[in-house]
Amino acid sequence: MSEASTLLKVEDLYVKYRSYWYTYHVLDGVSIRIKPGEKVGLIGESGAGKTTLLKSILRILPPQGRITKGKILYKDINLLRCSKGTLLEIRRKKVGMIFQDPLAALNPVFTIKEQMVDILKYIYKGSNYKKSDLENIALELLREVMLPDPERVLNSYPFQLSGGMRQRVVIAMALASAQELLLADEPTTNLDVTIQAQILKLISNLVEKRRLSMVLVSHALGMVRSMTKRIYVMYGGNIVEEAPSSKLFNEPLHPYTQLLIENAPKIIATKLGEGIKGNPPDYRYPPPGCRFHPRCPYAMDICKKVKPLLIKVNNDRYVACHLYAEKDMIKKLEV
Amino acid sequence: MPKNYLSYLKKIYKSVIFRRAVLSLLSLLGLSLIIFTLARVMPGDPARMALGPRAPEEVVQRYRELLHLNEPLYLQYYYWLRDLFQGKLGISLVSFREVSIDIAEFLPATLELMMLTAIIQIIGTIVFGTLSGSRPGSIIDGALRVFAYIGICIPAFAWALFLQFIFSYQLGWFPPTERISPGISIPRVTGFMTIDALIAGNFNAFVDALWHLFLPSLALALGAMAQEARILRSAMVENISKDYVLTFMSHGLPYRLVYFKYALKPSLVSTIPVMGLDIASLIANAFMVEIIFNWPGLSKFGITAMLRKDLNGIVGVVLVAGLIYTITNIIVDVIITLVDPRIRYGGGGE
Amino acid sequence: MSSKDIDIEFILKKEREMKRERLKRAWFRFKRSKLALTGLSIFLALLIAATFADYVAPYPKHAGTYVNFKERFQPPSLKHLFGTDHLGRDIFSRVIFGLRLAFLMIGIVISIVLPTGTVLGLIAGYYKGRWIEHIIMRLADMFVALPPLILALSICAILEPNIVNAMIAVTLMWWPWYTRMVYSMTSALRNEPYVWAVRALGMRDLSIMFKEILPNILGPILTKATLDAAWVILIGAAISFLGLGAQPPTPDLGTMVSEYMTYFPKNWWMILGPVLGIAIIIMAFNLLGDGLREVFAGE
Repeated sequence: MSEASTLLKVEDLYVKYRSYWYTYHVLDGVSIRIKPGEKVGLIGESGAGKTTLLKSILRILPPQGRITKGKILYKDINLLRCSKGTLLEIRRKKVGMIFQDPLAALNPVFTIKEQMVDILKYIYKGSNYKKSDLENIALELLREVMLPDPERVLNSYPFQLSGGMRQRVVIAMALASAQELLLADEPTTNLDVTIQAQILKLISNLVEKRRLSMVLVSHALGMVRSMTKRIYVMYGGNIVEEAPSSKLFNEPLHPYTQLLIENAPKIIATKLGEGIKGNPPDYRYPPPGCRFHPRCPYAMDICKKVKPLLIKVNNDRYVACHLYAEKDMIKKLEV
Repeated sequence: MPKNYLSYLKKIYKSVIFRRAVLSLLSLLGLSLIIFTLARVMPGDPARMALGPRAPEEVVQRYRELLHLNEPLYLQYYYWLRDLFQGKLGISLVSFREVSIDIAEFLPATLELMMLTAIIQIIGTIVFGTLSGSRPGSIIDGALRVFAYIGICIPAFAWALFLQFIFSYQLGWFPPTERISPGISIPRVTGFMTIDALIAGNFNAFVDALWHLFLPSLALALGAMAQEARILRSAMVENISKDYVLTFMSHGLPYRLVYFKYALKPSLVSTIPVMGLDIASLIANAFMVEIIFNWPGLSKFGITAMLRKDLNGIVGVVLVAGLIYTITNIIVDVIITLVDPRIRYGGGGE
Repeated sequence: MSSKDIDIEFILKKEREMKRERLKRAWFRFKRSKLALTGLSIFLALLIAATFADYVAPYPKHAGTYVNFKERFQPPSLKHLFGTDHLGRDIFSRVIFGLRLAFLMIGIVISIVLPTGTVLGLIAGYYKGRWIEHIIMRLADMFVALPPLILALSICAILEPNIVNAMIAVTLMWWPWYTRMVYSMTSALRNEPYVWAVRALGMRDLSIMFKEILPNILGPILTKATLDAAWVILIGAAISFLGLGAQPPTPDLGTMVSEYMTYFPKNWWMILGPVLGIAIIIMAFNLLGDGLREVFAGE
């Protein structure tokens, strides 16, 4: 995998949140990479740091959040070092993001038109588009996400639209910016089940049509499996496993992945998953060693002391777990 | 959008705001009844008090008749109400003029003060609130925190004395008292010194009047402004981490646009009610500052009336101040609905 | 036993547990909140100084009608921390007595407004939609139709400008604001499941109000009352500053400012003491209130 064929590369990223009293050590050395045109999944419980990771990529963490270490390379540009202009340019024209909660992603006190025109104005900065041209582009985008009656939608305030409609607006806005990479952060939470499938299908079609790369975060594991080639599993601010989608579901390696897939609600199964026992780690005082060890059924002594690194187990699978480390590796680490 | 607002303004008279306005006006009338009654029931002879102990009995008697003081209370109230609907508030026992004439003479000075204060307060709140709200933890933010605390703890009259001492008496940058420098005279049209100066085409007088206005307005604005900026600041801090602001960051909008448009407007929704109440209360708080700057405003008439127990004067001041307070509150209600479309369309989110 | 009874028991038990848990957490947070502790210590220090003003003040006689023309208009020094006034009285001593007066005033006003306002607000909120709510709330509406300061001033003027009437005026001015707050909290709680539950168990309305609803809103009420107290002191100072409250030679802080203003700006330091006195007592209440808010609002 050579550098040139990588679109986005995150290397050893650390992110901390600071409040008045506490520091939350959220991302703990996360690395991912995406090739051009590749669709990658990111799964894990809520609070695993998936949203933080996506927001860090665009550098739009809230003011309390700080990237303390690491590298984010977009093609050859280090987003943590590059000029403000370059960063804005990438946000405008290269990477688009669909936010988690469609109900919260649109500004409540402006019309859709106002919001979309503002966004488009900066995307098409330099070209001599008038306001009416931008409105037409907005209408076109809304049509593309299959919104009925786009004129009415454009003149509405967010609270006048249903959740599904709002999510389509958010997707339309993200598409305007995502000319190379789309970051979709749980695009279906807070939506009805029937609409969830529609929205995911829509995203999948649009990504296909526009030949975009995508990072998809979702709890709908089945959908992630069918929509992506490769999946990262996140737990407690770490990537714990990386594998091709089909192989991950057939043979999960990390104990956490196993539990996650086992507990995912399956429609065929008689009982719904009850979730994994225990709570996600307290980021103020994350467990030493492997952050999953307090909940892990196979926890060993070493898990409490040494943080497992993401190691290659065979040619396309990686896992961060001491169970898969070579015996002499463990010894080396203990010394 | 203007079209949108216009059609909305037409709908207003059917709205909740309209009903609330009617209710507050009725409340005001009810309160004036209470104060009116209280004033007449209290022991002491108002006519005698107004005219002094040495006034001849027949003069005092004439005033009693003029004020219907000899008649039963309900008749007194009836006369008073009848006059009120003709725009009269009764004869002042202090100036022996119609109270409404007295008030009309002094009120513009207070209104002018209120307006500049409101402008300073609004601009200051928005500037300091957004500056510190967009950089929580910065030096500006820390300074605002300290200033806000001092602002709450110090009454307006203390601010007034402090500013007057430093900027007038020590530095001599601003005139210490009065509305305009002696020697400048401009014909009274509206009673607003600045506007009258412009009408007279006397630009120097306009600047002079504005110069006189500045310190008292600042003194009135400071305390409330500090508090409001603090409220705006916390709303901004909260909103900046919200997805509906981050969305615009993710699209590469310039920071200034994101902060001053997409974070500021939702933050104003929670700040405007507080700011509105403070601005409405200026009609009363101005009393403290006017005394210090020798400002010939409502307080000049009001305080004299109160100290001299001039019943018609007191009730008149109460009514006029209450009316301005109510009207300001109604205007603020309308502004809130203009800023927040969720209220305008009667929707509440989900 | 039907399942319905068990549900009610369960709801009640859970509610009680939550109440206890909340109190425990609140106390824990109070001990950790720097704001609350600072506020409380300033507040207590002031209260002690005010209570024992006769011993704390260097010249307790100077509080009233004391005259010493030889020592008039002295600027601040170690002997007279805030200087002396036009009658040669030590301003620092007078400020201490002024604090006592301010505490006395706010104490009396609070002990009238808190109980009556709470009862009125609880009744109006609990019986929302009934005639009693309309009577109480429309009366409150009437009193908030005027700017608070004007209302207080006019009451003082009609009665007679003195300190007792100033207290009456402030009380009349404050109660509707306080009642409206209790009212809105109560009317929000009256439809909570646990209130339905105790009603179904046959608890009487008055007991529900005082035993079930009141404890749940006590935190916010106390917070608001403390913060309001600062505002009430401010209004009180304004009244006496405008000459409609306590009259000289009463050592009232507001009265002192207006008295000493005659000698402004020449002897500007004369107003320094009383203004600082007003500022510090208001600050104590504000810090305490903010601390309480931190404690009751949670993290």
